[in-house]
Amino acid sequence: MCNFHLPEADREQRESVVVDSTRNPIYRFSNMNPAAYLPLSPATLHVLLALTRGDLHGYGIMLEVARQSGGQYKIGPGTLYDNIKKLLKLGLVEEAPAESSESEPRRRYHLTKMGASVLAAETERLASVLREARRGLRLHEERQS
Amino acid sequence: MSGLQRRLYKAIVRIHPADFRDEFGREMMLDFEDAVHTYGLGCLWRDGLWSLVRQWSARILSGGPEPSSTPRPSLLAGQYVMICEERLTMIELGRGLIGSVMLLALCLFGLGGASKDGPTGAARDVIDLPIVYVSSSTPATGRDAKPASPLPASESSNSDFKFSQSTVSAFAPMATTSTTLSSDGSTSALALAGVAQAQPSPELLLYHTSGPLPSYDVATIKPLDPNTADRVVKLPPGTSLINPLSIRRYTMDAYGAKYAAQIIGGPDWLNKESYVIHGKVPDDLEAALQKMTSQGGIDQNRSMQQSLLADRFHLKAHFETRVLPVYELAPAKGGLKITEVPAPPERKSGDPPISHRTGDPLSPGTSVSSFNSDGLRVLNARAIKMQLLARIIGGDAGDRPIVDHTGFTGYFDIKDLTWAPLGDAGADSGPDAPSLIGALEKTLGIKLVPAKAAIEVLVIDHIEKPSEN
Repeated sequence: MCNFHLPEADREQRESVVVDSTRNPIYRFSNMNPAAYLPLSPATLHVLLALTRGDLHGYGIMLEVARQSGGQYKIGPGTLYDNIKKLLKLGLVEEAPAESSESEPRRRYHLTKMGASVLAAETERLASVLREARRGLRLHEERQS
Repeated sequence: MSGLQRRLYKAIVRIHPADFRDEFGREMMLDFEDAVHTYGLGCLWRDGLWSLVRQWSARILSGGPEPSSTPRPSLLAGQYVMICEERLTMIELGRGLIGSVMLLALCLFGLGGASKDGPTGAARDVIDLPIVYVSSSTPATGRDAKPASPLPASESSNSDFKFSQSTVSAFAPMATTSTTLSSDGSTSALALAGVAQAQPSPELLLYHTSGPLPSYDVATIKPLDPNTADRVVKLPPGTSLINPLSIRRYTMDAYGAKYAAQIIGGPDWLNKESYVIHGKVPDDLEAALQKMTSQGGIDQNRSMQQSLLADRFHLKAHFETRVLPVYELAPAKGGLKITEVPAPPERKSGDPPISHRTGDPLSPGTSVSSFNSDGLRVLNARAIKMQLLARIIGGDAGDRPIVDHTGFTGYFDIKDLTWAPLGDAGADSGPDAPSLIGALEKTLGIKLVPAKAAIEVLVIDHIEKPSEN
């Protein structure tokens, strides 16, 4: 095996990133009220939000969380699996089937219907907090002036 | 990453509570391997240790493994722990004391080790995978500042956290800015701390186009059956090489990305699926290409590839500049062990292409790498610059690009630089095979230094599988 390189035309070895997306439409705890889970911690919120992009393995979730927050919020494996463990238990996230073509399959996680409902409820809650915060700040400024 | 560092993290994972470790330990190790170059060892160790504290604290304070029928645990993970209402027994207090002492010792050991790890050590407060600032418009030599279709500025920002290239071009270095989003989604400013001040060096810029893109007369895109693709492209198992027939690789070529890290995002099939793409260059452009310089021809081809990606794959993407981990090529302590040679003769348009046959002497300005019988990679080159050397060896330094920081601007010959490549390609070489870092220092008097550098990246916002031919 021999590679010949010309100046400015070299194409060398590069990294490969493989992320899978498969689904397992089995929902648990579908009768629970999403509001009962609120408020969510930032880590939980970001993990659920990351999984709206599709089924991801742990590192995929870490990257997606960093991307979604513009790099301002990052979680490591310890924090991630602490949250995943809780979310699995609550049925907000479930494990997606392994990809049979992978020699060493990684566990991927899938946002359940309940998880999506909880995320939607949290989004609503945060929106109302924002509205309230803006109103409060406006009143405060008016009082100051 | 050394075996010791990996073993230390493994030890942290192993001393997690058994049920947690059994369920997530393997995944934590895999994620650690993936994230270590972007997050840094110190941060991952700290995260692992905090996880340890959280898991054992919850376990000790709740008096044993969590029962399967616990009431709803708090979702405020990492901020609160569950505490039993009953008073703690002496046994529980003793377990807590032993656990605390062990954790304290581990923390001291971990932080001490991490602090020796340079930029990835525990001394840093913030890990910096992230976008730190954006300015993709700074033109490199011979490159245009304004990207044209398929990257219109108005479509380049579909995320609240993304920067609009049009609004933040020539972004001045600054410490902190505030942010608001205008109604059309473009970012007028963004709140960021720790803003980097560097601009990407020319070799870390992507190829930008201006004006209407030339396109192929006819282009055929043929997806390859996975079984057929496996026969066509045989990547060594466990390797980090990217499939040369994948659309990610095609996108890298179209945008002049020298490193995989420069193309971010996109669905799975970008990496997994293989395509054979043929484009027929229009006759008038074909004639013009004959008169162009080598670089001019490459740029025209890239423009047509970008056009194809936009038309057939409906690619929408935007440029960003991110500060990412790299390795810098720098002079070693003992000094450079190779001498400068005269520059190779300048090539003109119309010159015949340089060819090389095994055994022939190399032409000035070229390099050849091969694998010897031991599975080691051997590089020989004549009159090449350090920048090209950095690019050639870039694939064997993990997921970090290698950038030239030697300060040597001349040309050098390289004779039999031999090292064990990453992945299984060097599996036959045994544990004593020379590493790339060792070979560089021993043969050339150059070392690799972990560092951070601004790199221009292309973030894929949207891409679809190709339309039918």
